[in-house]
Amino acid sequence: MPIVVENVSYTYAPGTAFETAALSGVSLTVEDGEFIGIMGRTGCGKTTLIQLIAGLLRPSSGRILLDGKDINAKGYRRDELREKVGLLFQFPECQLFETTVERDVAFGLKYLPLSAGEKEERVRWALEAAGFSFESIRNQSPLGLSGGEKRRVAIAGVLAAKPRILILDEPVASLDSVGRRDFMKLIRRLHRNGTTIIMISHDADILGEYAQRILVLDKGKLRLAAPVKEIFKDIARMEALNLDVSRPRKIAHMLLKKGISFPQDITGYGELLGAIKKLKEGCLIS
Amino acid sequence: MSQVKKAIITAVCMALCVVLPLAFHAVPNAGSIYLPMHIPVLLCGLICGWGYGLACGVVGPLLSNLLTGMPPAAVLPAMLVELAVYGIAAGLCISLIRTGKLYADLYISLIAAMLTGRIVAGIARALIFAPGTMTAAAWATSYFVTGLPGIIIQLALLPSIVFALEKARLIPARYPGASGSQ
Amino acid sequence: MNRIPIGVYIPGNSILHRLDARAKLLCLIALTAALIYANSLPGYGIMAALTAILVALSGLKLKAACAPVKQVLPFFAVIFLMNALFNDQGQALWSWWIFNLSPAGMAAGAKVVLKLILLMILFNILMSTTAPMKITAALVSLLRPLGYIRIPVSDLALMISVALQFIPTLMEETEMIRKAQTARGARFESPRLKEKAESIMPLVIPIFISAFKRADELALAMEARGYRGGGQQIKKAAGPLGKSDFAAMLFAAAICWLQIFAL
Repeated sequence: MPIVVENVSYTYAPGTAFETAALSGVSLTVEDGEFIGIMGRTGCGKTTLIQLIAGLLRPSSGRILLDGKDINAKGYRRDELREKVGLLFQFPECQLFETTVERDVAFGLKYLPLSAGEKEERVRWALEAAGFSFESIRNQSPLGLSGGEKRRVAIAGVLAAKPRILILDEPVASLDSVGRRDFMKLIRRLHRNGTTIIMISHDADILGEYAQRILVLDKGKLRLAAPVKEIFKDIARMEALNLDVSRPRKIAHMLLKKGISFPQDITGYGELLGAIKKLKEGCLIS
Repeated sequence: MSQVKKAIITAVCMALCVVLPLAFHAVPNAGSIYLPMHIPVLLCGLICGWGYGLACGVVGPLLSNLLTGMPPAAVLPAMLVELAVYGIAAGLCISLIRTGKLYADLYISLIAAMLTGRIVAGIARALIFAPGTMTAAAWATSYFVTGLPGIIIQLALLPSIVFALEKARLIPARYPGASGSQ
Repeated sequence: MNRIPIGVYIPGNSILHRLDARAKLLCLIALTAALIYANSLPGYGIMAALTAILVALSGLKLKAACAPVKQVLPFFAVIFLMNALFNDQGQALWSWWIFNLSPAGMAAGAKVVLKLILLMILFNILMSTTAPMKITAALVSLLRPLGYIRIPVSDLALMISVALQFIPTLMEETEMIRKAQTARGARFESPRLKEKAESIMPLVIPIFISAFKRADELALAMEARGYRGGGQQIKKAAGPLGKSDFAAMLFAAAICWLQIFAL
């Protein structure tokens, strides 16, 4: 059980006029190698939750366990946490600062017990995973790159530490469709190689395509936690929470309303195409 | 750079005079050593010129004291003088010194600015703010010895900041076409 | 650094809160002058009593009003001692080497410290009862005549109001950058100096880049709307001064006159 969130609450600015309960009584478990999507309206506590899991915030009450150990307990080595958990913030290009791309990506490896050769290997791997040619990008200034390139360098910076658990906050917002597709290809590759992925996204299509389980937060509470098919099945319930379901799901729903027998447990485009083909071939069982 | 841009940059530097000390105080013990308020003032002088540097040097610490109580009112007058001179000197030096190399210009201007600033502030303190309580020895100690790590850090930080801003094309390059730019 | 301790301004509805900022500023200047010229026992008494009354009127709790004073007590102690031990007038109670403890010196020290304390409290009252933007506007308004000798007052006003508006944004941004770099492994809180030093660049450079980017965007937007800088007047938002404002200023002027000429 890699991550266990045990009845965690978090309050901002306790005791002042600005006191706000960002999370109350949230409990969940993330298994090794899962691909989890987190959905919720703005202000529901998603960012607070991932910051708590990444150890950037201390819960006001409750515990967070990683591999069975309380990450906020006295004596817990923070370095252990940093090695295992990587967090990609929204607009990660803001964190670039070094004089060369190589140095910036290597920043996350600074305090890791790796040799210089190993570090260079990691940086090379990370930059190539992000779609760069190592030799041509390594000595360029990260600040002078284009917006898309900056983002990819920032991603490489987080990947270089090869975290076992990768948390992403709206990673594809403001990317064009090609950028989005390439990025998700990378994430899928990492997932297939065993990385646990936790992704906050407003994009129901992406989550419908890639996520296995979805967590829905609303006003600081965990409302739903279930496999994606189950979450997207009840469209009305999601709409009540002001959330979208994926377009393939909506299309399936629309087809059913028009009187066509169509499977309603579809969440992704692949499944949608498969079902349409079957329909065309006239052998669909609803 | 247009006058509007310079004015807004100065405004941002004034805001940073308030924000940076708070940011540094999140790093324990960093505030007094790194003298974070000096950074935006020097930067403003270097980038926008002496008039704006002066404005930043005066308004920055005032705003910071008004809003966060730092620096405490007792230190404020001397700090105002010191930072005002920083802003003016940095602006003047950078416009007068052209060695052809960005870093050389920056280092010389910064050192000159910091020296002048501290000398003038020290005199002001001796004459106006606390007459009789400042001896040459006390002044020399407080400014140079305890301030030395700060001076070194600023000399390390400021050129890097200017360099980064040029790379990000947020300020015009001082020597366009120089190594690696654009 | 989770919440900003946005300054000493405490919103309220006391008489002092309702006075016009310009009047308060001028009163403060008059009272400061009065304090400087105060030179007799009744004189000090009046100033101390007046300060106490103002504290009561402002709705400030005594502890809050005196808070800045507490911060600088050591400084005051030094001033007192310097005066007490180095004053050459009058007889010495006790003498050793270069130190001369004398009643005249102690009295002088006490006077200076008292003046400074009262001054700090008065300033604190002003800042607690007046919103920062109002103080700025008042300063601009009062300094407007300086425009005649070519000091760009309205440009300054613009810069200050832009700065004030940027502060919360930049604070949030800084917090975010700090968290992002911590997640990457930066060691801000390490006791080791080297590690602390190594964590400064990853914090400072992104802060400046982000700040300048916003400056860029704002400047562009302003230029696109026709702002050219220099000579453009900011509309006066404050209305005319009211009766209570004039009453306050008159009173402060009277006290000032008293201290300078009568006491």
